[in-house]
Amino acid sequence: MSSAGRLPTGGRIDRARPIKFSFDGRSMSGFAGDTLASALIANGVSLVGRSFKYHRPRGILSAGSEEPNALVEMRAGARREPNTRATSVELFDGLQAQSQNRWPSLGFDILALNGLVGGFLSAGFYYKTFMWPAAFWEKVYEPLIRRAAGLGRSAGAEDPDHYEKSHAHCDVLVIGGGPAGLMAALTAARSGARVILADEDFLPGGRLNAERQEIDGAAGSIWAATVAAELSSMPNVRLMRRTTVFGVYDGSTYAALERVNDHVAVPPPFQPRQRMWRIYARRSILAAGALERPLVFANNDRPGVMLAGAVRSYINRFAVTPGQRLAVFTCCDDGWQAAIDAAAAGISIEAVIDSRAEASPALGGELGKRDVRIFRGAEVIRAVGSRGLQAIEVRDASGRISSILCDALAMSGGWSPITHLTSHLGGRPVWNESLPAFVPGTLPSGMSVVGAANGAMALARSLAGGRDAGASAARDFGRSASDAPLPKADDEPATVRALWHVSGGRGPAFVDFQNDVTAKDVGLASREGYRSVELLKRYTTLGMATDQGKTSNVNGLAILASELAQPIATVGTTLNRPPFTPVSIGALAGHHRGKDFRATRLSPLHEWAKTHGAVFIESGAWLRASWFPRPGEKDWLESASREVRAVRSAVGLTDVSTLGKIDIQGPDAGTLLDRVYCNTFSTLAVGKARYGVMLREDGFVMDDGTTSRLATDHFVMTTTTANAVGIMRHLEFCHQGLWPGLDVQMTSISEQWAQMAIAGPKSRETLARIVDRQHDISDAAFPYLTAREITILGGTRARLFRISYSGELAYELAVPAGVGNAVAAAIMEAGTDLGIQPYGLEAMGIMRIEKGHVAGSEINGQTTARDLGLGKMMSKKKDYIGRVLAERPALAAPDRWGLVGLKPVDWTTRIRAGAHLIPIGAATTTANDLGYVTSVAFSPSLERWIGLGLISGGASKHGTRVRLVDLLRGSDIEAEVCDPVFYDPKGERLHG
Amino acid sequence: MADRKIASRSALAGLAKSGALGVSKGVPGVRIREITDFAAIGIIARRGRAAEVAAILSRHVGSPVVDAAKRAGAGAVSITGTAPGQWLAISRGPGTSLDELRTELAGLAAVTDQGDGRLIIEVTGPRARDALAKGVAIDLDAGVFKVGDAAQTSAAHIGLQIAPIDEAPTFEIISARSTAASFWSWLESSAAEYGIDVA
Repeated sequence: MSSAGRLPTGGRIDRARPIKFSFDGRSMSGFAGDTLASALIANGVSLVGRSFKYHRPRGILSAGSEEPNALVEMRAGARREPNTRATSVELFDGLQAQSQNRWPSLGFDILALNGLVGGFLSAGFYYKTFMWPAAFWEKVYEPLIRRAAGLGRSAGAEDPDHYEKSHAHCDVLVIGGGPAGLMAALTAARSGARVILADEDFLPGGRLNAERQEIDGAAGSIWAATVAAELSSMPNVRLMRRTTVFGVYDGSTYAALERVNDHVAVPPPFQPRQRMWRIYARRSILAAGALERPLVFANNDRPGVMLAGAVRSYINRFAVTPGQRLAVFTCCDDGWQAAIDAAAAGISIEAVIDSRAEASPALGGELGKRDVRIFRGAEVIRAVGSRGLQAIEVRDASGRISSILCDALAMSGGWSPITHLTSHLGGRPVWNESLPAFVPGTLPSGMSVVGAANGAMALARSLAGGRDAGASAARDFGRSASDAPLPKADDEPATVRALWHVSGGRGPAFVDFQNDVTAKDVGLASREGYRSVELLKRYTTLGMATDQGKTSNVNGLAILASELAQPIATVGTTLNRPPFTPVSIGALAGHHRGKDFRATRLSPLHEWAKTHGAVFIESGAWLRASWFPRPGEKDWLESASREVRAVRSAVGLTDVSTLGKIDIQGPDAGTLLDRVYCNTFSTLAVGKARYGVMLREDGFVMDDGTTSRLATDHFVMTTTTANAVGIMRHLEFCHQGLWPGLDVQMTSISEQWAQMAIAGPKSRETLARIVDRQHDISDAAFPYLTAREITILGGTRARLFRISYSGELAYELAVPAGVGNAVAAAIMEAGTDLGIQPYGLEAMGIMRIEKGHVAGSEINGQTTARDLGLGKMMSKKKDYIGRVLAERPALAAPDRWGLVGLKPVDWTTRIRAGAHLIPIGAATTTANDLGYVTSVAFSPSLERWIGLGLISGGASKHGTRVRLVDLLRGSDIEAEVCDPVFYDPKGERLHG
Repeated sequence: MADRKIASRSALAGLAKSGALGVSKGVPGVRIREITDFAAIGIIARRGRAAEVAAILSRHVGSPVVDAAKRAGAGAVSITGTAPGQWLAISRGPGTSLDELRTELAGLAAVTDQGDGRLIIEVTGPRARDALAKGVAIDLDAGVFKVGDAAQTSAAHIGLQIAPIDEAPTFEIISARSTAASFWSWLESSAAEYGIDVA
């Protein structure tokens, strides 16, 4: 197979494995080992996308993850992903890519007109233009701008692939698989240290794959392959290809993204698309390499203008030709290599333009003999051509301007170390004038930097730096690193003289290609007073978006420095934050999506409830049975009302397993309880249960529940479902922090016990049928508030509590969780002829409102025990948490909001929780607000709507009337304030 | 009323059906077994009595029990340190009980039944570490997390106790009953690419 842009031989591609793909619907082919970018070049595609603001035609600038231009939409349907860098997409069979940010087509784009009015779209254009009228911003301007500016489209459908996270630990994490990284990893690994080498490429070797430099007398890529093979074979090494370390965090923690299956159309079954790694590394060696800087001259964004290093990557690694007639524009020695390599590949070299008059005559080697025009002390002032490069205008040392025809221009402004990861914990890179570039400053603890990332821009120095860092890390772990001889390599010439901006050409000179920021914009921003680099970034958007300014930051800062007439070192640089390259939200979520977003807790009675057709509701992490519909019932209210009537007239069973259960033992258990509850527990008799209220330190109610005493030194506490974890934590804090001297042992038994309430006049009769006969549960032997360990169903251990939330004769039965379903089923069977029914949260809620019991709506963090009518429980004989602050005058004021019952005057009217209490005849204003409705229910027992509420003055308002005003739902209902206990106010049914 | 025998239901009952899951070619990389017959008690030493409790536990299990995150016991009974002065004792086997130990500890420690609130599984196989690393953040390497070690950690936001119990490696994982379904969902999804055999 041959194609226009493919060299007949060479490259690290597998010509035996052709690959079919498509771009903008056009079928094309490439080879295994290609990137999408190299395959596009092989197919003669140079126009790849349109720019963000001016919609200018753009090609491929780089050959790596720094690419600002060649952003494409990958894949189709639910897998579609925008803004993918064609330069780092590994080619696969069936790959579909579309150009983006163009309409109607890539070749003809309407919004390219923006380019013609470019003068208006200068720095801060949006801020300046779309200011008035302010109301227009959200409704008119922003949607318009977003439509015009959008880079690509998201899939708009659920991602069909799965993502996951993983953890890894190592002695040494080597970041980057170029010569320095490979050498560091090899040295550390041979010492026996646990090593992880993470490389973002699919082929280890870094620049060795893109250059023709030799190591040990053979191609550098062969050395890289040999080292990678040795590393792969070592049990103490994890070689992670396609893995980008994108963040550094506290505690020597690193985040990495492994693109497990980005290089196939659909991940194999059960494999993730991507995997997010959290890597714990005792030491890290950053060998991330360097990024080449573009040169800033007019129309430097034309397709065909490419970084010189990228030109070498395409020729040497991918065996593709970015053009037939190449010119080179450089301010450093390294740029010349592009001309040398291209000439060796048979590409016609039209010219080499070095801005340095003093550039060494030795540079270029044989080029002179090939009749190549060589300019020293000259500059390319303008690129000519629109959708593709046609020529360049060169101003030579004497100032004469000539035009040179070419279809590709390799440019090199020198290389900047990739210092990003060194800044993630705040380290500020420092300016090195000789490079000239920023080099790492203060490093994250445990990190060292080697190779080009540390400013060592030549091969032999990189290898030596890698070996030394690997050996030093090994020694830190007490391992001896054998002084393996360094592989033989040369240091290539690497002198450079900065060239930040070439002026004089007609047309925009781009600094940031992705955001269409020009040298002029930087100048304008500076003149408008945006003199700090941070402000420059935000005002011009220089360095934002997917590439985070990888190719633009240093040029931008340098131009700003020149405008301000300050040294670059003084102007400084913005600090990089994670992530180094974009990370998909899917990878961050991993397994935790859909039902797995967080763990769901299932009650030990879950199966039982399911069997009875329960409708479940999420309640915190729990799924709780809400009601149990029967055929013909039209809504939850009908079902719940029927369940209430069953409990009030016969017997019902409900699941209360989700309540927190805490086992408290030890000689000082009673003392602890006395201090955490506002009422007294040390006096509770063995075998008895008591309702308790806990206050926060500030005097407000924290939680309530019953606590029972099973033995002198053994209590069992229950908490509300919502506070189960919080109360355990509170008790642990009290014990460990406040009173470590108490001999008390606490442990959560929430998971151990299934607990169910059996309530109703026939509850005793039902229970008696399953309780083992030696346990007498008659009213005399087992009166209200008795709590005892018993056995049921022939020896199953259980705890029986005669307590009632419903207001009926009722029990709570706790059994080991494993038998929860079976016991509930046995009770249902035992009570069949007595009319037993399962009941859910809704019925429970109705009955507690009928009884005036407070729950989460009333214990809302703003109410005191007095507010809730529980003031008498506050002991005056002992100290307890919250006692002092509960006595603050405002908390004891007679006009505080207190708990009352509310009955609509018209008994048929439905009332709503949340309605405010307003005096009759008064305006509905905040000033007239007396309180609000906290809970409402339709009481099947009273056959009317009832409510609980908080009203200023509390019980003193009994018998008065107020309006329940709900401005949101538009209701205004007159109601009578009454005692909150609507049903069986004397509590006679409890004792039945 | 006649005595009726009622069946206990394990935490993964109905979830982890025995057989193959995930990738089905070759030897499964991960084998998972739920331990269904066991008793467990939580033990917290009374103030100042941790050493005496540890001594009794050592005698009971037949190897030294220390007040640290370690797991002692190679047979049916194991004891794992879960917090300062606290241990979880587990006895495996049908009809097993820890009542004898409970009696010995009377007055020295607070003992609570915990077996019904727990899920116990064993995860083994050549890819067990890789699968578990997808949720467990601690270092599971053979040279770091050794037989006899134990840790309280979490996976997929679910708390768990983990210990390597042999060098296969086999990991014993103990977690809460209520989150067993969510835990299983994570484990199955994490191990599927290696092939799973559920005992």
